[in-house]
Amino acid sequence: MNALNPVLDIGTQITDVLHAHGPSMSAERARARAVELLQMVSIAADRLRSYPHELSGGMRQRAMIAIALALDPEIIIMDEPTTALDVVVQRDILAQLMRLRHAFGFSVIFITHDLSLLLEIADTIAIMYAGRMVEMGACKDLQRSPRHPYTVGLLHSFPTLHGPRRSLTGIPGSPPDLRSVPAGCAFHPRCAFAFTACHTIEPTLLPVVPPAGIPSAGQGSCVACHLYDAELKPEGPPRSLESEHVN
Amino acid sequence: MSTNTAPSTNETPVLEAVHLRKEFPLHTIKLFGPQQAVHAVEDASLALRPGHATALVGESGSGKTTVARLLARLYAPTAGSIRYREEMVRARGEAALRSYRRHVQMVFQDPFSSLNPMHTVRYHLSRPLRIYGHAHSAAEETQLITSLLERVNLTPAEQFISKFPHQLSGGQRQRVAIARALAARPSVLLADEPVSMLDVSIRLDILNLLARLKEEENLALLFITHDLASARYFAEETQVMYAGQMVEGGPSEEVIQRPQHPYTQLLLSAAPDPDRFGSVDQHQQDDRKGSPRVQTVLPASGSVELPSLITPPGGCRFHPRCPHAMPVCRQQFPPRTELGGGHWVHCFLYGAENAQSGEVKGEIRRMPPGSTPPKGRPSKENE
Repeated sequence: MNALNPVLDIGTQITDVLHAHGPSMSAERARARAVELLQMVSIAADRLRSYPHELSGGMRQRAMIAIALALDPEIIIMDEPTTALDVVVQRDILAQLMRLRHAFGFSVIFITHDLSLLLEIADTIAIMYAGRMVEMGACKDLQRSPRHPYTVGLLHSFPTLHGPRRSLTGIPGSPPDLRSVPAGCAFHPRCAFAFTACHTIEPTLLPVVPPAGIPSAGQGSCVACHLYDAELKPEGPPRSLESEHVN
Repeated sequence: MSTNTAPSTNETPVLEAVHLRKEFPLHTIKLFGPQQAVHAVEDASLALRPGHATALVGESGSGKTTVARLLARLYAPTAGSIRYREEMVRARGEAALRSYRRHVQMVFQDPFSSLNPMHTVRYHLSRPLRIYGHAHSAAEETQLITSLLERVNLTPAEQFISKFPHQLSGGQRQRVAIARALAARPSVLLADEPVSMLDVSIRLDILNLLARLKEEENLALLFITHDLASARYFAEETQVMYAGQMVEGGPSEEVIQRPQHPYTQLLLSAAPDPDRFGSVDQHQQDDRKGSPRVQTVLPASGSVELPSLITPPGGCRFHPRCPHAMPVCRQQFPPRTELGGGHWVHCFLYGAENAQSGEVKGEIRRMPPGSTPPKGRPSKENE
């Protein structure tokens, strides 16, 4: 929402990127490209002369996407791009983004706290806690069989629109103070399944070995949790953790 | 139009808003023509019952916070009235406001700015205790503060009592803000997006805390949110606002599973929903009866923004975005239509008694949610 310079019109801000990375580009060509970019994100060409305060939140965010697209990138990193927007505008931006991604074939790293949104749009999800990646896997796999107790907690933290109205517990405690991260696994003070090793040994992100006999649902999944370490926890993760979400 | 929003319960409302309207005048110099104003809230009515949570849902800018602030008497309404225990609330007077606020307290959205960074938790909680005369001695005050902190799960209380806001996490601050509101021993709590500034993992904690307090203290709760899923989780009753107008309301489950107003349908179709596509429950979802999913996720007109509230569209303010807009929608705001079970809607699509024709009435009433209402309906004759 505040990423645009308030004293420059958006046309200038787009051509700025083009000039910085391609000084040989003529002013006319840069302007034509700016119009083209705005049209890609469904903003009329006459908005080129508009200042950010004249645009709505959704349009500003789309203008930002236009700037990001200016150099034909292979990866776009989006840091909470829709958090400040309303659901309807958010849906509109996401639909545009998906369309553009399909058309230009770039990859998106989508940073958000809204897991319900990610489950809908992402291919792969990585979950972070206290500065570390604790689980990574295909979206559907993560939804169907979350492994890390934090992921399980997160999936149980948002109410749904459909299905039974169950009582939700969330995750006890609060996020750790990053000045004094707990020793061992940073999540252990909030974890219901913590055992001795969790207090001392920091878990590393390891590929999940699917247990014999069970179809390998977790292909390509990684988790940083001692519950899945055969040496520390030979009997494997507790059933209650798994069964909670497999239903 | 009745102001009783939920006939399903017979308890008398503790706080009622009747046809509230709020305009904020614009300070522009205009020699000719009328003074311009932001029409923030237009004809809002709602009733809060003890032990009951009412959710007010809408986009930002829909006027839901203004409604809460009107109810807290932080703003004076332009028109309409507020009734506390069936008694009209006086408009002016410091003493009258103070005695009103003893009963009606508010929890603000942002716990980072609603607590004074210069003061400790003790100070924040001692102010209402002193102002409303609940504490008579220093010892009693400490004891009351300790019990307040325990009620909002800030334990051990001794540890928190002398802390400053910057030493607390967002969730803990919001708990202090809730404790501060409870210190006045209110019967109504107005919670303005109490969880939207908090970490996802602790949102539920705060919601569960509010739900518990509601039960224990028999509080009447107004829960303002933009998240329909948490409205469904938390509140017995839900009202949907659009651009200052109440468009639909009723029992939460009813409104969210069978939304009738096109705006509610739009909101629901846009809400993040992990079950939407490619999910494990795909086939289940297709089978689900009464799914509120609408085919057109975005309005055909392409506009996804709220209209200007300075020169709002006439009639139903949703008509420029509404896929089913009819000529009558431009001319007047639709009256309230009761759909049964406490569910009501302000939309001409369901205005059966206005349509005069029994045939149309039956047809409209039975229209499944999400389906396209019949086009080319006879125009209304009640203008």
